[in-house]
Amino acid sequence: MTERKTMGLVAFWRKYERTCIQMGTILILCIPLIQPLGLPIPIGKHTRAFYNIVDSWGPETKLLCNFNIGVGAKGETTPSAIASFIHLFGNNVKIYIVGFEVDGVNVILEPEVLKYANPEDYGYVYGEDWCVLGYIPGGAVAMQTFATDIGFAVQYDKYGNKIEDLPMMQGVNGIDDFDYIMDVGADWIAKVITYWSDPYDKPYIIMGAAMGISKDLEPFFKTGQLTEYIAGIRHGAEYEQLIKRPGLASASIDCLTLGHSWVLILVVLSNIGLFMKGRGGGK
Amino acid sequence: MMKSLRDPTYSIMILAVTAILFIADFFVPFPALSYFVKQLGNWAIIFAAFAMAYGLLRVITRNVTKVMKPGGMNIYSIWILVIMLATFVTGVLGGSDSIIYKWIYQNIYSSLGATLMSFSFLYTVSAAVRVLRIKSTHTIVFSISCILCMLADIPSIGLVSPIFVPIQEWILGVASRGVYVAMYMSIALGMVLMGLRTMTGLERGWIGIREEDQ
Amino acid sequence: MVFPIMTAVHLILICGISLFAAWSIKEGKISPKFRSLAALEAIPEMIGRCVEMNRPLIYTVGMAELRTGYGMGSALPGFAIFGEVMSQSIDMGAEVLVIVNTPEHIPIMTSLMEDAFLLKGKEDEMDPDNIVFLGGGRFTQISGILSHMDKMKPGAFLFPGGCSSGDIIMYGEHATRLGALSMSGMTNTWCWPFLVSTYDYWLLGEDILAAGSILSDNPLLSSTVWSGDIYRYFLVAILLISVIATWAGVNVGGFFTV
Repeated sequence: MTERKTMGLVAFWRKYERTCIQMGTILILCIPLIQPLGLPIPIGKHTRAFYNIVDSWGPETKLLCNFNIGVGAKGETTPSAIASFIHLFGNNVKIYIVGFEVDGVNVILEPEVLKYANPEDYGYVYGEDWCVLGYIPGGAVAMQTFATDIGFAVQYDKYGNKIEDLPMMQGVNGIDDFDYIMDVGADWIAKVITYWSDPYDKPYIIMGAAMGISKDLEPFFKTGQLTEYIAGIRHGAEYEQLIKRPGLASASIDCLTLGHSWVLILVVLSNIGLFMKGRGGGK
Repeated sequence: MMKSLRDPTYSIMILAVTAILFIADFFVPFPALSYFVKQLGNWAIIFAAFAMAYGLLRVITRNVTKVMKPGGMNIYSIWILVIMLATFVTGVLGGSDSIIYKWIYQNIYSSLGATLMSFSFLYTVSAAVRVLRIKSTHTIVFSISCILCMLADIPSIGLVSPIFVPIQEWILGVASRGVYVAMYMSIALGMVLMGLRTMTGLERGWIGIREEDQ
Repeated sequence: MVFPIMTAVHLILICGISLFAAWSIKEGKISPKFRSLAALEAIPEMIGRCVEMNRPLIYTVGMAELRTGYGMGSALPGFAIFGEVMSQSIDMGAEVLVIVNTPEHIPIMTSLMEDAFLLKGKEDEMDPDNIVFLGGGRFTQISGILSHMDKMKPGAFLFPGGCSSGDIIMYGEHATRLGALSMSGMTNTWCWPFLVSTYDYWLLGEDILAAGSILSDNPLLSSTVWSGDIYRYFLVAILLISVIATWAGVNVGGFFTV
């Protein structure tokens, strides 16, 4: 009877293995939504180094922010972006935001980032302390043109103001006139390095890369072409802890922990099952 | 006698001249050349926009055909046409900053997009369970290194043991870094060679085979 | 802006080596042999499986804009492989469903399909409805490809093209779930772990870039692949010299990165 029951369970598992795994995943991830676990978040070295770099900036720093978050990656990248902008606004850094992908500055910047990191709360005046140069179509060609002649690449900002009328654009004509380049969403890392940071020798940092791309950033980081980066929800949560403003990323850490742990448990169980099957422990 | 306009020679000539201009602009940023290259880039964007219009026509034609087919209405095709028309009209009339357009984008497109992306984790879990099964020597190394890296990615693992993060850093920064750098260099080299093949007309996969070529 | 001297030097070197390789092969002095790529050799098997199971083959080049470097690198090989797949499919009698998600690809794929049928003298058998355009967005691609897979139950799924990392794993896993053979290839490095884990055959990096040359009978095409190999030996030599020089205390890195 027990043997028949076991064989029935095994057959059920074989037939519905994927469904069971996926249902189990959904249930596991629902736990922190119902009861937050409040797991601690140790700070990693990349996040701490990134924080120190941004903390060293002040009102005289001109930062070019290449805002290229896509809709698909926004869940992973916007928490880091929010935390970074809060930190930047707190240090009175001059921020120039530009985008070369249509989603970033047009759809995600205001409702997903600036809604939670409002520059006006820090006394920022548009055109004097921060500006959004808007979406510039053209990809690599547009980036190359922007590097040498901003006025030729874009004539009006996102809100219809003439670029030349913005006070903070006086004397800013190309990449040479910025102090740092910050990239949000690292899809364009090769282009930024090729057309902006390497030719003009500008420090380049990435805030809010998707976790899947972060492993590709290491070669650039080791060679020094990328000064520092924070990637994924985890680094975003660490950054929120450092600036003492817990937000979306910190709230997601419990899910991240449970999700990873669940995958590892499944892998171990799967291998145990395979081992037992190999020894004739099951059919 | 002038060749037919479908002759691949014209396509290759246009491509070769454009490529040479772009490469020259990268090395020698001559203002007039930069201006012309920027205009060429704008033309490419306009061509892509025309291609999008052609794609739009295709979607409409296909779905209207499905709706008109006898044997029951295709609800999905009707919905595609309705939502496409609504988004198009609001976008054209109100611009991308209009309230309705933004509402459609943020509450329908963006939300559905995030939902679809969340499926990827479910597929990743089932794929990971299938792939990380130890069946041979290769898979032992593969699975163990994957498991160690995944352990280090757990945010709170540093409190359990400090050993996992340095192990992950070694695997990613030393063991696999050389491979990644070599692959990047190979891809870059392959892209240059592919560009050379395409510019010189050797690579014709994108043109297709014409009767005249036979 | 600093003039990229070493970039120019390397570009001239690559062009020179390519010319030398083309001349050598044309004069018959060299006849290089290349290793076989399992993914390309599996194409007849995949098509044959589709014919046996009476299921279509789904082919897509994904999202690969021709205006971007990555897009070009992924799309052009995809077109070359598509020509070969169409040719073999027509011979074996397999139905091919082409899913297009970049509008610029529509006329190219249509033309390639028409030409393949024309060459085989079977232009009457071409069904224009077998080319489906999904709309051009990432999410339309996900939902479109998965729904077509569910509806058509393909015998094989081929995706040499461009994609984002989270999507590629969905297509491969879904194809496996439906019992279809799957092949993919791309130059996007962040997709490779997903490619390797969920697809039966794959073409990574330079393999897909050289695929068009390997499939073609034109020896001049294969000369560029061989010239890449020569340049690679040269790069290895530079690397070894740099390593030895660095051990000896001579900084050569600055010289090579001017």
